[in-house]
Amino acid sequence: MDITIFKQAINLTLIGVSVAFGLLLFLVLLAYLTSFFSKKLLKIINDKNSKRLKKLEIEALNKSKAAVAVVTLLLADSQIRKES
Amino acid sequence: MSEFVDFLNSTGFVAINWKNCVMLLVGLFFIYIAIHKNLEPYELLPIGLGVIVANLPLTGLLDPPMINSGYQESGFFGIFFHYGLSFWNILPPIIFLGIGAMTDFGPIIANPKVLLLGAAAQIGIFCAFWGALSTGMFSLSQSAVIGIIGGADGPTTIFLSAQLAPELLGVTAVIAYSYMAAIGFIQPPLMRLLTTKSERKIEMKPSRDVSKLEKIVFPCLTMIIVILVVPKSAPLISMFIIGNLFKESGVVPRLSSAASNELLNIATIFLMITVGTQLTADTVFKLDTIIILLLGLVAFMFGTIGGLLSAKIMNLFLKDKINPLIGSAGVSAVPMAARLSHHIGQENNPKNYLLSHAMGPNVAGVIGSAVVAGVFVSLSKGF
Repeated sequence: MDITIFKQAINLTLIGVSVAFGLLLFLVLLAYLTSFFSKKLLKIINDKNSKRLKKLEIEALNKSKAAVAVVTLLLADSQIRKES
Repeated sequence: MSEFVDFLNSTGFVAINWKNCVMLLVGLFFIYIAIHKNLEPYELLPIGLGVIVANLPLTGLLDPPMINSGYQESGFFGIFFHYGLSFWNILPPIIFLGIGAMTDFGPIIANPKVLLLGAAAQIGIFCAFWGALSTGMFSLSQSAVIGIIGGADGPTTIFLSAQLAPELLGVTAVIAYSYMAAIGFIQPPLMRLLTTKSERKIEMKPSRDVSKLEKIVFPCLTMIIVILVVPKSAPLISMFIIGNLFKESGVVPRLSSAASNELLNIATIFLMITVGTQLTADTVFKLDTIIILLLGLVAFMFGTIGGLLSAKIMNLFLKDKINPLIGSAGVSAVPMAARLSHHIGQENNPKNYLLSHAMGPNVAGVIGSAVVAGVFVSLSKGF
C-alpha cells in the first residue's frame, strides 16, 4: 500500500471515529441539557399560567361577589318599594 | 429476406449472452424473496425489476445524458441515474426527508446514553474500510464506499457511492439492501453468542413521556451542531431533521404526510429501480464484487458486535442495566434491527418490551452513519 494512501487512511479513521464518537457523545449531553432546560421552561410557563389562572379566578370571584351584591341590593330595593 | 435478417439482428435474442441470463435469474431471485419471503419488499422488488430491465440488451435505457447527446439519445434510467444520483444526488436526501417524518426522537431524549450504542456500531464501517484497503484492489474513495455498507443504511450508502465511487453504486447499494434484508439471519447468532441468557432477560423500565418542546428543540440543535461540525453531511442530516420537525411540530400534517408517504414512495420507486439498473452483467461478474460482498458481511457483523459489546461495557457502570440486545440495533437498518432486538428479547423473557428502547440506538445509528459519510466525503474525495 502506498504510504500516502496509508497515512490518509489513518487520518480518515482517526478523524472519522473521533468525530462520530465525539458528536454522539455531545448529543448525549445535549439531550440531557434539552430535557433539563425544557422541564425548567415548562415549569416556569406552568407557574405563570397557574398564577394567571389564579388571578382570573380571583377577578371572577370578585365580579361574582359584586354581582351578588347588586342583585341583593336590587331585591332589597324592590322589597322596600313593594312595602311602601 | 435481408430486411427480415436485419430485423432478427436488431432483436435482443441475438445480443443476449450467458451473463445477461444469469443476471435475469438474479433479478428474478430478488423478486422471489421480496414477494415470497417478504424480505425488504419495498427495496428488493423494484431492484429486481431494475436488474431484469437493465440486462435486456439493446434497449439503450441506461445511456446517460452527455453534453453531445442528440435529441432523445439518452435512456430513461440513464437520465434518472445521472440526475437523481451521480450528478445531482437528490434521491437519497429525499428518502431521508421521508424517514425523518417517520422517526421519533423520544426514545433518545428519554434515555440519551443509548446514543453511544449507535456510535459503537459504526465500528463495522472502519473494519470494512481497512479490509477493502488492505486487498490493494480498491482506492481510498472506493474503500470508504465499501466501508459505509456497514452503516446498514441504504440511502447513506447510495449517497456516498454516488459522490465518491459512482462505478460501485449499483453493487454497494444492492449489497447494503440485501444484507439489511438478511439482518434476521446475520444478527441473531451474534446476539446469542455475545450475550448470556440472563443478560438477554434484563427488563428495561418503560421510557418516560417526552414533551413536545423537547422533541422540537433537540432535533433542531442536533441539526445545527452536526452540520456545523461535518458540513458535508448536511444533505442527509438537514432533510432528516426537516422531515422530523414537520411531524413533531404538529402544525403541518399535510407536509408531514406528504414527506412520509407520497414523496418517500415516489423517491423509493425511482431510487430502487435506478439502483437495480446499475447491476448489469459487466459490473457484477468481477472479483471485486465478490470481495465487496464479503466485506459488506464483515462490516455488518463487526457493527453488530460493536453495538452488543458496548452495551455490555456500559452495563458495568450503570445502576439501571440496559439489555445488551438493543446494542445490535445501533447498526441503523431502521426499523428491522430494532424489531429483531425486541423479538430476541421476548424469546428469552416474554415480559420484555425492547422495541421502543431499541429505537434509540437505531436512530443514533442513522445519525452516526450520516456523520461518518460526511467525514468520508470531506477527506477522501479524489483519493
